[in-house]
Parts: sequence; C-alpha cells; structure tokens
Amino acid sequence: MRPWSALRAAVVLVYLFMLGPILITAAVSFNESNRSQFPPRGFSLQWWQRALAPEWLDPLWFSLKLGSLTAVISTAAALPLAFALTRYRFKGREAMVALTLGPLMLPALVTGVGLLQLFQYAGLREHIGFTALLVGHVVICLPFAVRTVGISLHTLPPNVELAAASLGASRWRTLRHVVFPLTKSGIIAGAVFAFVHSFTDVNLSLFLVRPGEVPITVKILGFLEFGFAPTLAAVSVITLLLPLALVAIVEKVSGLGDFIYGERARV
Amino acid sequence: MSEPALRLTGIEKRYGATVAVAGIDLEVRDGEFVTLLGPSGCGKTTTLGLIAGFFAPSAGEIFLKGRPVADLPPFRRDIGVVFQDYALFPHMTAGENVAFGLRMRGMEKSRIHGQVEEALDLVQLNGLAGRRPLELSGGQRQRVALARALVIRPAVLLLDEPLSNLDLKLREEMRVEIAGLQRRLGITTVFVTHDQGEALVMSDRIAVMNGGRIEQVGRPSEIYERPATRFVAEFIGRMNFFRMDGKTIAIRPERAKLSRQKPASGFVRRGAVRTVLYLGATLEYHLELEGLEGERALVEAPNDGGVPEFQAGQAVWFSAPPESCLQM
Repeated sequence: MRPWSALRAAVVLVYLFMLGPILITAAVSFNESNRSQFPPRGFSLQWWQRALAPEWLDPLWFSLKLGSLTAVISTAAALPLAFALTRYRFKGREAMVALTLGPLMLPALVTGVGLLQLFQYAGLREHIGFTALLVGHVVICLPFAVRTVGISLHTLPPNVELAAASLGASRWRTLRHVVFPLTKSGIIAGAVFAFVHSFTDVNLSLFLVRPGEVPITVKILGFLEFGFAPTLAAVSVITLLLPLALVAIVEKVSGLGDFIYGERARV
Repeated sequence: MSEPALRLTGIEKRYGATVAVAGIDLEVRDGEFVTLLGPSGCGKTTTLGLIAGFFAPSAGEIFLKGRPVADLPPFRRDIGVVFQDYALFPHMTAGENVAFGLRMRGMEKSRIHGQVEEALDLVQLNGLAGRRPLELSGGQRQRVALARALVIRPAVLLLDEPLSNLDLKLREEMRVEIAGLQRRLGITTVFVTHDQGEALVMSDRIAVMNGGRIEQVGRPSEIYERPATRFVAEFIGRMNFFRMDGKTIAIRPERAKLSRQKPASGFVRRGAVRTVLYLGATLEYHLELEGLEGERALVEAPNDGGVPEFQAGQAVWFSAPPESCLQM
C-alpha cells in the first residue's frame, strides 16, 4: 500500500470513530417504536415532538443563558489577566498562571464538590442553582478564555504598540485602535470556547443544581437512569447542534481555526 | 547660539548589573542627520529607544527643542519612528496607517485626507493608499512607515535600521532617497545602523558607538580620515596597524603602495605577497612583512584590467606617504 492511501485510510477511520456514535444517535431518534434500535425501524418524528416540549426546552434555555453569561464574564476577566500574564514579569506571576490555568488540570468534579461545600458552609445554600453554577462555570472556563486571548496577544506584531505611542496614541487609544482590533478574533474565540465548555459541562454542574435550575446536560444524565429512549436521542442531537452551529457561525465570521491550529499570519 | 533640536546629557541605561548605555552626551542641530553607528550590542538601539521614550533612562536628561522630555511618555514627545520591521498596523490600509498620527492629534478628516495624499506622494506611493500592509512589498512597506512617521512633522525623526530588511539593490536606492528626502524636508534625524556604508553616505555627522559609549563624533570624512580610536579605525573601513617605537601607526589599505624598488621616503617595509584576491573593481594584496614575526599588511589597488602587477610569493616593498600614516 502506498503511504498516501494508508494516511487516507487512517483519517477516514479517525473520523468514523468520532462521528459514528453521533450518527447512530441521530438515526435512532427517527425510530417508529419506543425502542432505541439501530438501524432504525420505520420513520417517525414523534420523539422530536416530545423533545421540543418544555420539559426539555427549559433546561436547554437555562444552559444557553448560563453559557452566554459564563462566556461574557470569563472573557471580560480574561482580558486584563491575559494582558498582565503575557506582558509583565512580576512577583507571583507563576502563582497567578497556576491559579488561572489550574482548573484545566483539575477534575471539574472536584471543583464542583468543593463549590458545593463552600456554598453550604458560607451560608449561601439558597444560591445553589444558577448563581453557584455561574461561579463554577466561570472558574472552569476562564483558562480557555485566558489561553486564547493570551495567544492572540502573543501573535501581535512586535513594535505596533510602540509605533502607535510614537504617533501620539495614549495607552488607552493604543489599546482601542491597535491592540483590540488585532486581538478581536482571539477574544471572540475565547468567548466561544468558554460558552461551549460551559454548555457541555456535566461534571461540575451535577453538584450545583436545584429543581428548576438544571442545565440540559444534567437533565439528560438524570433521564438516562430510566433507560435510553429515542426522545433522548433527539434531545442529544439538539444539544449537540447548538454549540456546533455557534462555532460554525463564528468560524465563518472571524475564523477560529487559527486559534486551534496555529498562529495567524503576521506582517 | 540657539538650542539644538535634540540634546542628550549624561544618558545612561542599566538593566540590573548590565549597562546598555554608559553615559552619552550628544547634540543634534536643527535639520541635521546624525547616525549612531556601531556593532550589535553597542547601545545604539537602546539610545534611540530612550530618545523615543520607550523606556526611561537610569540617569541623564534628554532635551527636545530645549524641553526636558526624559519623564514624558512617547506619545507626548513629538517624535516620529521608523522601525526595523516597519511595525505597520496590519488591520489598516496604507492610507489609514499614515493617517493614524494625524487622527491621534485630533485633525479634521478633510485635512487628514490631503496630508495623507501628500505624504504618500512624497515617498512615491501614490495610488496605493487602499492597500493593506500584507499586499505591499518590503520596499513599499518601508515607504509607508516613512510616510507615517513624516506626516506628523515630528521634532525629531528616529530611524532604527530601516534598511536592513531590504535587498542590496533596494537598500542602496533607499539610502540616497531617504537622505534626499531628509535634506529636502530639513527634518532633524537620528539614524541607527551597523552598516558603515549607509552611515558614510547618508549622514551629516556620525557618532561611532562601542560598549555603550560614543567613541567619536564627526563628519563622515573626519571619522574615516582621522579616526580617534583604534576601534573607530577598524570599524569604519579597513586598516593596517604597525607597531613602531612603542607607537601604533595606522594606514588605510587603499593609501598604501607596492613597488619593486625601495621608495625613497615615507613609511617603508619589506615583505612578500602571500595572496592576491580579485574583487572586480579592485585587487587585494595580502602581504607577510619581514622583521617582526607574523606581521601582515593589506594593500588595495585599483584594477586597471591588466595582469596583476605582483604575484603570490613575490618579494615587494610596502610603502605609504607620511600624510597617510596615522598615529594612534
């Protein structure tokens, strides 16, 4: 076998491995009977109809709200953080890097348990639910935002800030007219990563929910205890398509690939 | 006497134990083109950064048109800088790059447009205002950077090795062009380079730097004809050094002569040709001199098109007239 066909076969296998389960789930949601069979028997949209009932739409909407707010807050916090960490050498910088990126290494499960206990001992029991979830999600999403914003600051062409200063731009105007436009796509990418990470999280959320304030992932997990129904397949597909659509839109508008695969073109 | 456009007094820059600039005094007159010339690490770029205000000096003061500016940030100094990598704003067109400084000065849009056009004309980039830096060649980017720094009519224009990223032909063109532009606009300029050719061609005066200090300041011909130190003599052009009675005699290779007969006067040494290098416009004779162990000499002679007058292995007389012998 020639090397190229071997490579091609490997790539096809990898994609099959990644997409196979998703395709099977999607197919199962069109079953006619209440049995999760593959390949599906018959064709029906009844499970999709059930998936679009408030029982599922409410947690979906909850997750969207939670993810959006998490994205906004972690990106806003990531901007000054990434700036300080990439630009300045100061005492305690290493500690700050470790604290910011730490949650990336830590199982979210542990963060979740920790937050649950914190909220209980601090007498904030009534805030468990949306507020606790928001705090937890910001903690686990911040590393993604800091990383992407940091990368875009790193790829800023050297000397452009000095050039702006020499042309009479104050620090603030340099940020506004030069640094921000050149790092915009990194900032957007950071927000998207934060949103997706929040939207798909289950490990941390598991511990911080309360009735009526449940993200879609936890809801799905709860439902799984009663077995896998085609309704769940339909819900899963919706849950999957939402962040995917977001990534696709942003990719089209400002390009995420650069932040996943490598540096942007420099001048 | 009127206040010079730029005056540095006792400027120092230390980073911990490292001394980048070790005490510099320099005056640049209004409209003058002064070059800071030296090898890498001599402190020339640091000095430029200090004038621009990119970092603060550890000691000393900087006066721009008589105003002390050492404590001012760059955006309050009234300077124009052309960077080695041009540092154009990649998200703006050439025209927007040039307009940036005027916008920051709060000029009205209508006036900005005319000034940008004028500046781009000046560097012969008319019609390219709408291009982005990525769509321009290296030489064109350089011109945009120049226009961007010139359009704000700064008190002092600072050029940080702006030619080093261009290919040889373009570099030689731009030398003449930038120097011409500078004279025409009468703009006070400080130019940083490690290229002695650029320095000699472009400058009114050259400050040769070494180890964070200025070794000598003078007109290009003064620097070349009367180097003050051995470092300057070696760094600019090439030089033969001979030890004689505890003194050092320095002779430029193109001022020395070879002959079969012993010359009657001047500095004379007996030696043998080791190698002859053919360089096109000139021939280079490398000699081994008699007497002192391993003493060598270099003679540069114009190539008249015939067979080289002397061959490797041949015994010759090396000589130079007294006026070409420098005592160091």
